[in-house]
Amino acid sequence: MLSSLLTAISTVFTPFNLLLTFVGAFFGVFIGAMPGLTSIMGLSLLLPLTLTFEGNSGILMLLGVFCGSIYGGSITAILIKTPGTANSAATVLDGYPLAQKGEAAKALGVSTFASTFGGIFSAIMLLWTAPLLSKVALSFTSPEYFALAVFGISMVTSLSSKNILKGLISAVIGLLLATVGMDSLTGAKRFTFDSTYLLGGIAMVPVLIGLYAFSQGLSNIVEGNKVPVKSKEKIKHTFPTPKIIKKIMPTVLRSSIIGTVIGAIPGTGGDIACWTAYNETKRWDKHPEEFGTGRVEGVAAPEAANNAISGGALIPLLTLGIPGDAGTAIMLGALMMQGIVPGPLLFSSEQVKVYIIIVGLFVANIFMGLIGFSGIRLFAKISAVSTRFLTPIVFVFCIVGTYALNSNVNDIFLMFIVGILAYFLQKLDFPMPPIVLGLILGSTLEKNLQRTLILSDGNFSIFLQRPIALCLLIAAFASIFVPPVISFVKKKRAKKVAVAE
Amino acid sequence: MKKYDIGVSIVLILISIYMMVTASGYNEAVSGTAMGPGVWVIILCVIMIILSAILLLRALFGDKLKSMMQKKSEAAEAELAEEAPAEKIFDFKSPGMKRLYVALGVLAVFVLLLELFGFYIAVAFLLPAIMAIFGERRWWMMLAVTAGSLLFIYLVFVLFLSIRLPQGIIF
Repeated sequence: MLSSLLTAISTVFTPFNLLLTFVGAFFGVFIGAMPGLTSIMGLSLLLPLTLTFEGNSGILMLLGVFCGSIYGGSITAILIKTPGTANSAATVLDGYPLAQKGEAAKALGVSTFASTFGGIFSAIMLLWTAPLLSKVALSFTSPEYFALAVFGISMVTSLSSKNILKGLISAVIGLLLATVGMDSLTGAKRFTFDSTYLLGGIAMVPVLIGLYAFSQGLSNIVEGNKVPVKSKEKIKHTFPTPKIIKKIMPTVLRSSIIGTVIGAIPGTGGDIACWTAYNETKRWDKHPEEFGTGRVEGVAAPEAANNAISGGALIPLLTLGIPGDAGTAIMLGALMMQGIVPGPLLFSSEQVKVYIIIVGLFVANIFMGLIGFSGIRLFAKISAVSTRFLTPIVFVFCIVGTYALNSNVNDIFLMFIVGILAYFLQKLDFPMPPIVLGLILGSTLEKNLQRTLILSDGNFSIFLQRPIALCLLIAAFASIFVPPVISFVKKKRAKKVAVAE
Repeated sequence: MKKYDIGVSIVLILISIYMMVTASGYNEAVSGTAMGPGVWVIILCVIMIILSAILLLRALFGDKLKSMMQKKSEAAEAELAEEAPAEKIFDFKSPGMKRLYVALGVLAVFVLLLELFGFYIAVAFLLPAIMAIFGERRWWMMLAVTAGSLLFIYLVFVLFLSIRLPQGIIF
């Protein structure tokens, strides 16, 4: 283990790889700080670019984007009351009042410190727990993998959708898209319409860019030009004083743990983590009524938690090959395109690669902190760029990114079509994350079901004889069916109370 | 929302039926495996048809069912009144949607230009056109953003990363 770790460190700390991680983190903070640009959009736009680098370099760049974009959202949350991403929605509550009191620098310093700490904490947790968990996962065979993939998709569906029925439909759309092309086990051509373009399946990158970046551009066009709010604050960015650090440390530590744990549960994400951490901090505080008026703890808690997501979400991704949300699903896609198949075997066969990712996460978080402490003024200015310039530029990057991967013009057309469809589907409350998960996990699901049925001679009762698989399947069903039942019961109860009154 | 749900669910059911029929042909081609190449598709299509049917039924009869269960209680009426304004998800005549139609037209022209003249000329059209849709009228601003973006793409993608960009038939 130690030798792999040292090899990984020496790989990450080459000038070129450090530069790419830095560029990724910089781009990530930039994307995060821009209201309307999300971290998933940043990841999907940069994914094709990272594939042009050999081996690990591209992954390191993506890690930079992943960390930076979560942090970037806090800058605008504090300065102009607009969270750059949903991950920083809770930061607004105390961050903006602090800025109004003329303490923007303090708030930004605390958010940068908490974010960096949360990220590094979760990277340590990843380093510690992932090898342990992978040993457990080594006993997994195809029924368990099938159940695990079902569990991952159902959790994401249940947590990301307002309407679970529509979430499920989205997931099946993704799974059906994944069936296009050559079947890996039998070699049969499916839904290719005799075109060589579709033989390799529906390309993931154009779909991702269409779903997350291009559709967002179309939605910007419908909403029209937004005049950005300019912050009047003069920003002198300062590292928090030892006194403040001492004050926020318990909050930061607790929130980092909350963030890591929540991140490790498939389907959750930064938004859930930041609200949970904020509420817990408020609950533990001696003066909960002061929250919302500009408490530094109210900035530290959500920021530590949402950055701790990054390490937490990589735990199930690296050990089981199950992405926790749309962002890690893109990471999974990137890894698979580089020929790395995440899962327990990765820890025995390609230990160095695992450690490169973990060390990369450390470095990405450190860069994120450095960028935050030094470049905050620049990002505050950048976030005031009008959508009328941003949207056309995003379009051009969608086109370049899509084409860069395979040099195929058809990919651009596919991206356009997916983007237009996605715009309308989103308007109709169909969530996008289940589509991405379905598309990425589709072949895993099918392959493992095929293998399972070969094992059992076509008998589905094999799932009943496997305790882990059975538990996962039950949990998957519960995640879909329990929330609607609970809300139905609650409604009934509320009505009874209303009638009684 | 209701009429769109009805439309979407019918389209999804039709697509699923088509995929299911096509997929059942795949299994005949391959035999001897526990699970032919069409089985997974058929499973998914059946799930999709069931889900879409629920969506369809809910859109068609959801309100009736609700009011039947509640016997037109005040709560139900209030709830219905609350849902009513949400009906207008797409205002197809709004200025925003009109901008979207123009943008889709611009994209169609872009595709044509891309096929004929290649990436640079097509993008040199796309960027100012989208800015114009947003109401930008300063020609020097449009020129500066277009030229700046093209230069950035050339330097970073073509020179540094040596990515080939689409070439047209004519150039």
